[in-house]
Amino acid sequence: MQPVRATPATRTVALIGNPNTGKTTLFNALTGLSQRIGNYPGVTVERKTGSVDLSDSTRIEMVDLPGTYSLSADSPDEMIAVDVLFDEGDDTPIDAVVAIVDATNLRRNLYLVSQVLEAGLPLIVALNMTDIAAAHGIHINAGFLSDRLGVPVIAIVAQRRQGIDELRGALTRVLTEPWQPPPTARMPDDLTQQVHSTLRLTESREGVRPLTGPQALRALVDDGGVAEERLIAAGGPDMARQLSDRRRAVGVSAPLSTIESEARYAWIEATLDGCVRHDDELRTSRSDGIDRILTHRLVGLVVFLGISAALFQGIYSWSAPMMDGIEQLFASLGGAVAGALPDGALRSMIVDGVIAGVGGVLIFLPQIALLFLMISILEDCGYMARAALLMDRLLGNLGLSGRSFIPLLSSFACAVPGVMAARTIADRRDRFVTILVAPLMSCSARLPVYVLFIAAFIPDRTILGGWVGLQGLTLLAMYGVGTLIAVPVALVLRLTLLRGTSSPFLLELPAYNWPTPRTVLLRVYGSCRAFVVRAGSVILAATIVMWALAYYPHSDDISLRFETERAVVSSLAGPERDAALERLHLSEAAAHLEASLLGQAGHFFQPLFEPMGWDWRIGMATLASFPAREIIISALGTIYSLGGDHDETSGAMRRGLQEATHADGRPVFTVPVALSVMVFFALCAQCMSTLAVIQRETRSWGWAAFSFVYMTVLAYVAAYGVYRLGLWLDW
Amino acid sequence: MMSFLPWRRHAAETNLHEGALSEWRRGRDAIVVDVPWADRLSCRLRELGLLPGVRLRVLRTGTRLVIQVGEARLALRRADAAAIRVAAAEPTVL
Repeated sequence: MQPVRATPATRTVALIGNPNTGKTTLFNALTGLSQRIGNYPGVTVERKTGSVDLSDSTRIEMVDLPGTYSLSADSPDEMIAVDVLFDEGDDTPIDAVVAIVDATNLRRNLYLVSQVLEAGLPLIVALNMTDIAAAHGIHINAGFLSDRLGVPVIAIVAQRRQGIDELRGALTRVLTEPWQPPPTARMPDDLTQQVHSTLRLTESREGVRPLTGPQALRALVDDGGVAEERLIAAGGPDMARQLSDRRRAVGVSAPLSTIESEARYAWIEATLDGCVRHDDELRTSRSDGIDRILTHRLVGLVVFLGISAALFQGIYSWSAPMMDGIEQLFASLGGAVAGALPDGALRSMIVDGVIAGVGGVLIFLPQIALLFLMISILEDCGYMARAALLMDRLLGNLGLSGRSFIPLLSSFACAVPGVMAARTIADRRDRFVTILVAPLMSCSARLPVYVLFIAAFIPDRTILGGWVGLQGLTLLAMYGVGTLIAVPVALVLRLTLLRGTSSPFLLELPAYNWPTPRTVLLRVYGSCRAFVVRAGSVILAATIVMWALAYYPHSDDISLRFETERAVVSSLAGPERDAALERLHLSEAAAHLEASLLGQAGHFFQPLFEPMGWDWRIGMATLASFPAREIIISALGTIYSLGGDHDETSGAMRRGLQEATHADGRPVFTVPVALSVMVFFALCAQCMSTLAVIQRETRSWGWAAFSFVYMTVLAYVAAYGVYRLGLWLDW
Repeated sequence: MMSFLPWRRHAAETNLHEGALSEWRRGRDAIVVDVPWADRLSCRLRELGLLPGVRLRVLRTGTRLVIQVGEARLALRRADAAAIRVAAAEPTVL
C-alpha cells in the first residue's frame, strides 16, 4: 500500500483520535516546542505538525489530525482525515498512524479505529487514561487487545507522560518492520458488493480519479456528505444517479449509516470480548455530581455568568496595566528615537510608522494571552462544553450555537482575541457567523470615543423622574446598538452567504479533570505567536501606509511659512514666546495634515460625509482612524490644534470640540452630529488588527473585505439615520 | 428493527414503557428502541454507540438534555431527542 519513494526522506506519522481523549496532550508530549502551524488547502483547519525523536535516534514528522468520532464528513474540514489517510495521491504520504483511544470509553473509541484500519497503514493504538479507567474499575488487558486487533497497543497516561517512551519504541518498530494489515470490521455482503460496484464506476470513468475502497464506502454511506459531493462534482449528474442506484441496490430500508454502525459495533464487541470486563451498569462518576450544580438551570447559569464576568474583567481590566506598560515603552522608545534623529520624513516614518506600528501590534498581546490562558484552562478542565450547553438555548435561536458565547463576550473587550477564540467552534458556518458579527460588539477601543462625545455634547441631566441619567443612557445605547444589530446580521448571514445546515448540536461533556499546565501554556504561546507572526505583519504594513497618507506630500511651503512666523515670535519675552511657539507648532501640524493626502481625501469625500452632518474635518479624522478607531481622539486633537497629550477626559479637548465652528460661525458639533459620529464608530470596522485576524482565521481576504464593507455600510446608514432622527426630534 | 446481535440482550425485554427520549424522566435508565432517521444527528448518534438495545440514562432534562451512554455524557436538544424511541430498562439484568 505504501508509496515507494526514492530517498528515505523524513517519515510522516498521523495522530488521530476522538475529541477529549488527550490527543493534544499526547501530541505536546511527543513534539513539545517543535510544533508548526500550517494550512491544508481550501479549509480553515490548522495543519499542526511537529518533530518526534524516535528511540533509534531518527526524527519523524507527526501530523495532528482534527479530533473526530468517525471518518464520515459533512464539511471539507472534516474530510481532512479521510484525505490524509486514504488519498494515495497526497503530497505528503503517511507512513504510519497513531490512534489514541480513551480507555474509559473504549467501545466508542474503537469505532474510529475500525475505520482507520481500512487504510491498511501501520497502526499503533495508544490506550490513554488507563489510570482513570482503572479507578473506575475498568481493567483492560493491553496485550490481549493487541492480539485481537492485530496492531500494537501501548498503555499510556499522556497527562503524566507515562508510556511515551514505549510509544516511541513501537513507532520505531512499525516504521522499520514489514506491516501485515490485520482484518477489520466486515460490512454486510450487500453493502460490500455495492462498494465494489462504486469502485468500478470510478475506474472506468475518464477524468475521475479512481477511489480507494474506504473512500467509496464513504461516498456511498454518507448521503449528502463531502465524499459524495466530490464524486458528483468530478463525474457529473450521472454519477449522482449511479450512486443512488447503488444505495438502493443494497436492499435495506434503514439508512446505510445504520448498517455501517451496526457492523462496526458488532466487530467492536467481538474484539473486546474477554479483553475488558463487560459491564452493562451505567456508572455514576464524580463529574455527574459536579454537573448537577454546574449545568443546573439556575445555579449553573449563575456560576457561568460569574465565570464570564471574571473572564471579561480579565481582558478588560487586568490586562490594562500591561497594555499601558507596552504603550509607555513604545512612546518612550519613539521619544528616544525622535531625539536622536534629525527632523524629516525618515524620523517621522520610524517614529509614527514603524515604532507606532509594532507597538500597535504588541499592545494586543496581554489581552490575547490572558483570554487564551483562561479559555485554555476552562477547555482543558472540561468546563467549556458545559458553558456551550448552557448558552445554546440563548444563541441557538440566532442560528449560532452555545460555543459562540465566549468569543462574542470577549469581543466586548476586544474583537481581536474574540475572533481568535472562535477557533473553539467546530462547525465552520457557526464559526464564520461568529467571526463576522464579533466586531459589532462594542470593544474597549470605542469607549474613549463615547466618553469624549458624551461628556462634550450630551446634557448632564436626568430623565424619567430623575432615575435615569441621560449620559449613562446614551452610553448604554451605544453598547446596545452593535449587539442588537448583530442579531439580524447573524440571521441574514445564516440565510444567505453561510446558508445550509450546520452540524447538529451534539456535544460530549468530558469528565472534569485538572488542567495540564503544559497544554495550557503551549496553547497560550501558540495563540500569541499566531497573532504576532500572521496578523502582525499586516498591521505593521498598514500602519506605515496610513502614516504615509497623513504625512505626504508634506509641502515645504507650509514648513517655510511657519519658519518665518517662528522667527517673528522668537523676539517675544520668555513665557509668552514659549506659548506662541507651541501654538505655532500645533498649527503647523494641523496645516500639514490638512494638506496631506488624507486631508485631501477629507475634502474630496466631503459630499459623502454631509448626509451624516459631518464637515470635512470630522471626515478626515474618521478616515485617519480606520486603522484603529481610538486614533480619532488624537486626530481631532491635531485638527483643532489642541496640542499636548489630550485624552478623552481632558477638559481642553472637550472645549475644543464644543467651540469648533464652521466658516459661517455655526458650531460643527451639535447633539445629532455627536450621536451620528458615535453610532458610526459603534458599527464601523475601524480596526485593521481585527480585519487582519479575520483574514488569518478565515484564511481569506474575501471575508475580511466583506466584514469591512458590510460594517462600513451599516455604520453609514445608521449614522445618517440617527442624524436625521436627531434633527427631526430637534435634540 | 429487530435485534440480531448478542450484545443487545435488553432489546427483547422492553415493550413495557416505551416513549420518546425527550420526555424521559431524569435518572431513569432506558434502552434505545430506535434511532430512526438518516439525518446527520442520527448518524452521529449511531456512530457514538446509540444503537437499539443500548442502555442509557437521562442526566439532565429541559431544553437541552444530557444523556449517559456507556461512559460518555452527551448533550443534545430536546427537539432532536423527540425522534429517539426508548423503553424502560429492567433495574437488574439477570
